[in-house]
Amino acid sequence: MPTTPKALFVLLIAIAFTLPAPAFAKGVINTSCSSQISEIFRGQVLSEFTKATGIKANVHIFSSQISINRVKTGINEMATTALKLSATDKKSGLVEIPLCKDPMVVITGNDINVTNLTLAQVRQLFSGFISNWSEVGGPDLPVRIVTPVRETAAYVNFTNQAMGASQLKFDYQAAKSSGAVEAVNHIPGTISFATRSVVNQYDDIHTFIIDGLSPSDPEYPYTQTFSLVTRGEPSGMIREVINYALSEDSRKKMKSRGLTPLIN
Amino acid sequence: MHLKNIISTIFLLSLLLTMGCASALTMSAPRVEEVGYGEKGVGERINVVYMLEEDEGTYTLSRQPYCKETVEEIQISRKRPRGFIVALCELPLYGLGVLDYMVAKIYANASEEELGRLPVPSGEVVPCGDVEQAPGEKVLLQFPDSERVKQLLTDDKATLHLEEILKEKSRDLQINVFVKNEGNILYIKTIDRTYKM
Repeated sequence: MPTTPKALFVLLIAIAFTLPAPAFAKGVINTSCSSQISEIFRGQVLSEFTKATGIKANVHIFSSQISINRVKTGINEMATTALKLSATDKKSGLVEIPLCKDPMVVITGNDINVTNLTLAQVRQLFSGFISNWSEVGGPDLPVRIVTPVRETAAYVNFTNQAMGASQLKFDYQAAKSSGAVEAVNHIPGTISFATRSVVNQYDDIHTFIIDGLSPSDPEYPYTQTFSLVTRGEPSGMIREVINYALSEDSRKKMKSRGLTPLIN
Repeated sequence: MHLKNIISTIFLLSLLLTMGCASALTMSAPRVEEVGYGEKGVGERINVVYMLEEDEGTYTLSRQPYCKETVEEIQISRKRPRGFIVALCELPLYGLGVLDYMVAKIYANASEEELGRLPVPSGEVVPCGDVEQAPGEKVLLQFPDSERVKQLLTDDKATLHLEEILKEKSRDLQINVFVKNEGNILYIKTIDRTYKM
């Protein structure tokens, strides 16, 4: 064997002796979460879970569809979503566990003194046929429509449940569902929609009563269901998170935030 | 020629001088504290895990306690092997650099002293008891698509009678099964009906 490769061979052996031993990895859960429920799920369920069990959880905020995709591709072990899984997703092995329901509310700032709308008016406002608040008994202010982007569950659910055949238009779009609420809080004359538990945190925003039904009424028809999604049956630490989210304590906290637990 | 001999001599002398440097550096280095991990054990009980087994259409419920897994965290004081670059320089001398670094490593490993052991949670959850049958348990069936919830009880032999429910025509492709235990709801299994597609 020639001299140079011999020396290289000896060098490689020497380097091999200095390679570090593999690190011991502790359990961490990686999860994606829709922004609509992130505050409750991350702030209450997961942080309390970590305190109780010592198991850490990394939460990444994405739209519901992206959260589902991240579970499908194995990037995350679990997702919290407001979108229903398709039959194809279920056939590919995704499991959906609906956790709670929250009314989807139509919102505007307190600068608009209108509180009651009919469904027809809601559709006309969001499709641009009503362009000034004075047409529905409000102040002389142009109607500005803010929606979350099409990929969000809030957009999909609102279009399917409330808009009927009317097309949903927008003046501004927010990347996250919670961003649309922020816009309503700051831009005069805006109208948008969101899940009630997000809106409740803002003092300068009010929700509309639609066709005589307030979001607190049991017959209020516009709701979003928040589910936990896993790839295959949940087991190990993921199962513990689900059990914690379904515990008596968590269900009480959900109810105090206006959410309706689906399994009681 | 004379100059060549001088240079070769200087080179050889410097190599000879560096011999044993890696071992000497390691012996004179200060101790460092490191953390190692020892045996795994079982900590406090978290909850009971229920299992639903199916055998030719008969579903039987059983349960097993689960606990937090612990691992021994060992505080170690030791010397770290030093002088790797110096040992590399010794390699041309019949590969003695390898021997020098090996001695340094052996010395570093022999200097290891255990300062203390403490069980800490590993982050995992493991079974910590025998599996037993679960008769008289309250079982909740959730149908995700239609958002219905049905309540059943397991009989004396821990059997869950799902024949009528599974025969029903419904759009639900999955049925989530839970047990209600002391106010808490525990996930057991998802019955897959996507074969009906």
